[in-house]
Amino acid sequence: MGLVATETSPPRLRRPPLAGQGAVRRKKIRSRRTGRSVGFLFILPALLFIFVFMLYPLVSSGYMSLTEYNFVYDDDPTFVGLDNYVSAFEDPQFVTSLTNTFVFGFFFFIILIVASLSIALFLFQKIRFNSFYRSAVFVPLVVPLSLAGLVFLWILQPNYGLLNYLLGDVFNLPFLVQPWLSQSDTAMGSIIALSLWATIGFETILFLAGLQSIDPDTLEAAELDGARGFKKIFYILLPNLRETYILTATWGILHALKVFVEPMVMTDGGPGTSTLVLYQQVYLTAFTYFDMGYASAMGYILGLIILVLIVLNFLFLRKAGDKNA
Amino acid sequence: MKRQSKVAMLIAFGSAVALVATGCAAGGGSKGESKSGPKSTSINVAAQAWMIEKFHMNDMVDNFEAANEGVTVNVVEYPDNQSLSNFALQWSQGKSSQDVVVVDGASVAVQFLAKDLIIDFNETDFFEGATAKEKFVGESLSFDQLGDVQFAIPIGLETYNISANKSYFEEAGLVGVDGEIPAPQTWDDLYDMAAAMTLRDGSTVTRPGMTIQWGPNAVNTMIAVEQAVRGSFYEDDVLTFDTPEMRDVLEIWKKGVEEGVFSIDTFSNKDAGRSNFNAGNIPMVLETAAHVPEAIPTIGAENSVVLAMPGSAENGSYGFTAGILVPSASENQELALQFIQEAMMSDIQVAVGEEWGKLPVIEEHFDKIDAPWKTSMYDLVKISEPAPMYRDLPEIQVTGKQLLQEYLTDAIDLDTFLADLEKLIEDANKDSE
Repeated sequence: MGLVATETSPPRLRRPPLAGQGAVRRKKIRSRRTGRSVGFLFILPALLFIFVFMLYPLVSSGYMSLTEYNFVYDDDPTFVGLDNYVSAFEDPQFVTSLTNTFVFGFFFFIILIVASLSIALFLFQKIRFNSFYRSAVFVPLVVPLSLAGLVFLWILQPNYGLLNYLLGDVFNLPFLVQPWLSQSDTAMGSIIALSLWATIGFETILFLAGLQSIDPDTLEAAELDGARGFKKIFYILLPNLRETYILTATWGILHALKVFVEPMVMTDGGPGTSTLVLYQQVYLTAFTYFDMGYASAMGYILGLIILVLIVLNFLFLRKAGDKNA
Repeated sequence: MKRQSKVAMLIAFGSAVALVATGCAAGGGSKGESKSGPKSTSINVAAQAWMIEKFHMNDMVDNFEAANEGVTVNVVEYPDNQSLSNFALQWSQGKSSQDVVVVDGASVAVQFLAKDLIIDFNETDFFEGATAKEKFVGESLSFDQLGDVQFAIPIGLETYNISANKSYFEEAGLVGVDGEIPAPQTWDDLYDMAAAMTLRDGSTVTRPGMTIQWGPNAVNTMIAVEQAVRGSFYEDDVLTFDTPEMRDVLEIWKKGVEEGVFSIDTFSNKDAGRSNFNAGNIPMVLETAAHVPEAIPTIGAENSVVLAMPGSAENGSYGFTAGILVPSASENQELALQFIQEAMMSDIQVAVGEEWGKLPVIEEHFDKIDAPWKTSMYDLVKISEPAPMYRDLPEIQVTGKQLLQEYLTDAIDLDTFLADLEKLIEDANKDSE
């Protein structure tokens, strides 16, 4: 076989290098290698950051979630395998906080997507004061969430708050006056309202960017073909936002399930446990009860849930996009 | 991958590992490291923002630095008790950035005794001279004591009781012929008083008669009320709330909430009662009675009075103090103790007491206070009881608050509430260490 191969495919002859060509080539290679090394040096800070502040804590807390460790009482963590994960689903506080997180996430996500898309479609039109509206939508983003929570706390205060004053005294609708944050049903609604106020601007900007990236020729052609108003929205604009949906939905899911600041500032999880969300329970377990192992396990469970939802969202939207294509 | 690339990657990875290893090594100092050495000239004192203002800590620092040339005291602000976990994590690694830590409610510090993370003041020479034990007011040291261990030094004696705005009582015709508010004998009496001062516009309550602390300190409120109505919150040495006296009180609370007589603002804002009282918007608030002097600038000295809740004049209430801790890992313990002794136990406590109702713990300073509420408040403080020093007290406080709020908003009934609360206490680790 070897003989045949040799006969049928003669060895390629190397062309002898011209005088000076080898030196140039070596110089080129050296220069390329130096360039690469410099490139690595440029990304070194980022690598260090990822390793020290992301990868290492992730692995460390992953290990911690498999241990029983109260750092105020225990000298060292004790390995308990998956016990913390199993205990979590038998713990009513965990189940309640997980359920509340989903309730918050469901309503927040649906309203967020619908409202921000609607606002983006509105701002995509050629209307007067468009720049002003765009700025106004974006303004809540620059207000720190904890500060916004304190302002909402004041607005929703039952006896002397602005909302009840407007409802009761200005608009003469006393039957609408409520202790907004002190009763279960309105407390969750109030937290969702704050979160939406704080985040709709960002989602709107994302949708607006998506709308602006649609080829103007497509829009012009559609208009020439008679697509106007709702027809234009449903048949031209919305189908062309596929990539944007993936981004906005991912961001929406993340924000919906990692909710923490709003209930922490506004209700402290109350009344009772009606607005207690999972990250609050994780925080309490870690920093009030000092139970680091169990807190890490709860954090991991929510992290996994978020990951699964984001992957499902990506797969679903990609599949839907492929069908449309 | 080319050789140079591999080398660069290796350098990056090696640097990262080295950095982490350095961090870990730095955290591994042993607890037993010597705290002696050259005499220190600088200490860090950690306190919550409100403490810095109310305990006049900057004045303490100025006086101390003036009296001890070359010494620097840095006051470091921390947000709340949950930040203590960060401190404890550092202490458990044998290090401490703080030399003195002032905590809100000294009983939270008990948990740090388990691994000797804080010092026992009895093992130092702190109780000598101006701060000898006999110089402290009454039993104030016992608030921060566990067995033979003095784990904290109290600062600012307080007790739970009713802060009342007398002008509302006068308006409602509830003041006696002697011009004083008659102390309510039972919770029914107190409910009637609050109901008489509740304002309504049609069916809407525009001003509740009373606010009760049902926020993060709800369990402390229950402890205070039970101590007052029953004389103890223990049965067989275990914390309990399922008693006939407490059942009566809880039913009255529920009725008060349903009828808008007792406000539930504190569910979402723990400071709502105090803010409204200080602003003159509410007749009564049940939480720390220290709000009485605090409200004087706004509602007037003649209107801001301590009103003993039912039973408290005889049985006391829940008493507490802020606590001063010294971490075992502090390398400047000597200077820290000197600062506590000379600055924190100084006559600055007089101004703190007069302005904020946080009574001095040193008798000499206590005697200098000239305020009408001084005696009534002290009479209450000296018969009041601290919270049980259980390892799982934080969990009882958090979950107990949640259960109480569920009961008051009708999410669960009284029997379920008490059964769940008793189960919580039964399952809790009640060891002190």
